[in-house]
Amino acid sequence: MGKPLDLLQGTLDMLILKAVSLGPLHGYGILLRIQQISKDRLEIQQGSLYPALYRLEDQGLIASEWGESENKRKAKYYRLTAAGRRQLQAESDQWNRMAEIIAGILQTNPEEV
Amino acid sequence: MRLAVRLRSWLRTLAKRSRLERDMDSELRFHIESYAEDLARRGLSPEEALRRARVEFGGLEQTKEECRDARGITMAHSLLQDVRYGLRMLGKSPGLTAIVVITLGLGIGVNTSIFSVLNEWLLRPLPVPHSEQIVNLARSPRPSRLSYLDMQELRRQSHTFSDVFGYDTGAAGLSADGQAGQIAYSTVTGNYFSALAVQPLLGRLFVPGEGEKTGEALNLVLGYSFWQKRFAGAPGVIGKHVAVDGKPATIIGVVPPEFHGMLFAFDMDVYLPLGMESMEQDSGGFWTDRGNRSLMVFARLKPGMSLAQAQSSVDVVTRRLAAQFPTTDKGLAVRVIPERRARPAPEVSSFVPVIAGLFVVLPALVLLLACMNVANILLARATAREREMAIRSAIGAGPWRLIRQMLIESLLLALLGGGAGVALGELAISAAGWLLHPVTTSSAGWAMRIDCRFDWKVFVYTLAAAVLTGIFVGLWPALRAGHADLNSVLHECGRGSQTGPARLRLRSSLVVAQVAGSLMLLVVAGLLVRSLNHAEHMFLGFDPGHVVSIMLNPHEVGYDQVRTKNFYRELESRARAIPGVESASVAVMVPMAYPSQNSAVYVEGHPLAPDQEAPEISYDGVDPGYFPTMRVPLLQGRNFSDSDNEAAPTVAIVNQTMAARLWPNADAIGRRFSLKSANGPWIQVVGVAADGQYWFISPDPQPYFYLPFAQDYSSLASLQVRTSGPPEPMIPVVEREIRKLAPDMPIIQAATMEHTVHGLAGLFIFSLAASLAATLGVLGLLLAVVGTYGVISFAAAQRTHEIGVRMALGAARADILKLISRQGLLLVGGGVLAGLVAALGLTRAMGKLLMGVSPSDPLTYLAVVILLATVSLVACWIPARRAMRVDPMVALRYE
Repeated sequence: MGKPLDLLQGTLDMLILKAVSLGPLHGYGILLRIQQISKDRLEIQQGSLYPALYRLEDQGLIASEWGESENKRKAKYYRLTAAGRRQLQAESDQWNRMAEIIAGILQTNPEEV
Repeated sequence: MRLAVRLRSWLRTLAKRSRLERDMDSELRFHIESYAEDLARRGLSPEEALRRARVEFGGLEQTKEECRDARGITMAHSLLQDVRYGLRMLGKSPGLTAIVVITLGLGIGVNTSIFSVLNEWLLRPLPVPHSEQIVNLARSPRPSRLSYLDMQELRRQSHTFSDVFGYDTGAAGLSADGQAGQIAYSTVTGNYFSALAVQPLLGRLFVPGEGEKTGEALNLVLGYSFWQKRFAGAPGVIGKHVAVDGKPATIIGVVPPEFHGMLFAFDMDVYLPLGMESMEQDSGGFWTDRGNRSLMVFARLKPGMSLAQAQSSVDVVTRRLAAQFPTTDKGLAVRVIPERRARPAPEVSSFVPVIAGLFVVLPALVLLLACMNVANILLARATAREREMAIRSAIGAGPWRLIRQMLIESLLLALLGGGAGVALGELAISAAGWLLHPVTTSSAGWAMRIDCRFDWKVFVYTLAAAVLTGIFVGLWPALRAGHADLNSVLHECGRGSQTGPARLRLRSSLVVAQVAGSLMLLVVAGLLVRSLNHAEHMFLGFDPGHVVSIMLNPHEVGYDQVRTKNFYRELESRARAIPGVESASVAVMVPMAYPSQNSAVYVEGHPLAPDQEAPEISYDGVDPGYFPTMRVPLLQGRNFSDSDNEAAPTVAIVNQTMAARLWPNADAIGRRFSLKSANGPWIQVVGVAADGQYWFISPDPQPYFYLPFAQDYSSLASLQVRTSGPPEPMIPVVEREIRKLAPDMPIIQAATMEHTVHGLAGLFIFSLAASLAATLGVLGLLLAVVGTYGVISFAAAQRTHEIGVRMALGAARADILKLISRQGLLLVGGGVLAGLVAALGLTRAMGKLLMGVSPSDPLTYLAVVILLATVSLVACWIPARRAMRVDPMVALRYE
């Protein structure tokens, strides 16, 4: 396993939405979930997570409520709203299209031009 | 929808701010502690795990700040916080805050009070619906009045106006309930009120066509304040019978309080129909003579009609009139001017706009100087606060936040200064009202309106001035704070940051500008004071000392011409018999007390070119006693005599200018001219009098002539008495004599000539301008001194260390003095040079205001430069001396 990659600009929001789409999570849980599904190949600045969460909540894409954590402590849980689900759909579609195009460009051979 | 969500979130967070802070705290703590537990589970000690978790998380405060930002609460909440913090900072240095607030208050206050007066007189729209549609139809060139007949043609033939109306003003006696008093009135066309859309407060106003015939019963409408003053606001005045100039009249209505008539700066007591105007003019040609131009004509544009459209339709009408009535209307031209731009009345002397402009420029300059001073103080303060800024930025405050903090503090200062300014301005206006009071009484009983209330426009102007000042003043320190370099500031800790050559340069250029600005103010003030001094001592064409003039109008109590002439003759001989009276005379008017009468003058043997108009010249009717009593020098020919009476051939005495202008290469004596037509009747010149000042003081000599009082009768006339002792005590003595002769005769005006000369039409405007400019000049000087002193002492304090080193290395105290004061000299010298250039440009525009002084008067400039240089050098010398006394040991330990 090589050195973890820095997160691409603007993708943190999408990853957060994806993480909470799988079920309500608290902030630390979101960090763990992203690391887990990326198999520790992505490096996330822990401090940058919370401003993103607050921004998404402010935009109405996620909602929060206080609950009890697995270690029996008070924790704030985030879940995806309907608007968040639509946003996630739109963003992943766009991401996939973009990735496809970029990949296509990068795989072009001289004789194909 | 998205906006709604955000708004709700914003409101929620704002309302539950403290809960949010708590939540944020516990959420972040939960994160760090959970992570620490995970790390501990991997084998780290609990303390080490917590430390690692904290380090990896990064700046906690910074994250919080970013979270708050993300929530959008920063704007409203932190604004509140900044304001609270700002107020605390201002409270911490009350002396500095007070200086800044007072400096700004003076700057803004001066502007507010002057703008209020200008606003009231010149800028505020008429208090009538759609005042922008009201235009002045002014004959051009001046005088701007039109005849009744021509006004009717304009009304009938132009389709761009919904109404054309006119008025004239005058003074009369009004007696009611056995009491007589003086009133200022407007005679108005019947449609005056309906065209202006003024609604009656009480009773009714005139209706179109009303009073536009001779012989109609006289109705009158009261002005609001006259109604309050004279009739105690009694509603029962409607239908009341009174007498105006001895003629029976009936009160029919009262105008609302906001309507003062259309003559700028004055309040009309009474509105009378035009019938009154025709009665006043004994000739009776008012309705029928097209050349009898006595009406100020106005019109209301039809909705959507432009000035250009109105102008072209008026041009068509005037061309038609010129062709149809060539004897009176040849070359007639009428300009359509928006009502507000026709203020002050076109006849009023042409230097009013110059004064108005000056009164706008000078206070603005003072405000600018005040701003520069405040900027200077705040720059010095910003230096002292650089450490605070650096630390705040280190613990997570963004540059914008710091800039905003400084801007908010400046705005708070500006608003406090604005408040102080409004208070000071209010004070200044009430002082002005009090100051102007004696003047208003010397202008033929006309009530000048100085009730300049603070309306919203003045308020907005002041507020804008204050806020712009705040931004201007706050910008520099704020930008500096935003770019504060944390490292260098913290490293230099004790030193109060780097000496900041860039900043000192900025502050120095502010000082240069301040010195330049105050030099301009002082030069203007100096020129105006010298001009006033000159005007006070110049030869007025008569000797105002020891003369009393009393204005009467026997017509007002119903005297006819024969009785009036007998009355004046009798009064004059009785006045001569009073002990202490040297001589007495009767004249239609005395200079600067009442507007002169004008007439077209046709010179015998000089036919006019086809498109040439006869010159309009002012004149007076005087009896033989006038020239000796007023001490008007007769240069040639003879004085009038008692034999120049109604039966004798008509004669005149002309002044030097008239003689030189009408008969340039010949002796004027024996020449003839006419006031009626190019074919006579002729008036023969029998004497030439010295030039002088007449209705208004003017730097250019005016042509003028005198007719014998017997041949130019007017009921409105005045008695002059020259006394051997002080003139004031003579006024009640002469008044008693008048009462003995005619107990009910209203005395329109009784004043010494000295008083009249200093009145509204005389030196008043010069002394007003001079005292205003002098006040502003002193203010500017003070500000410049404070600015210079501040910068030099700041620079000296910053160099304390350097001075210590120099002295330790053997520099003499004199060298230090030279070092510090050289800096001051450079600043003051630069400011003086810049100021001289700017002042030369500014004063060129004031030519009309200056009597006997050139706008580039070297003496004024020299005096101002010496004064300014001396004062600012003292301001440099004090800190330089302090620097010189620095003890090297103390200076080296300064840090």
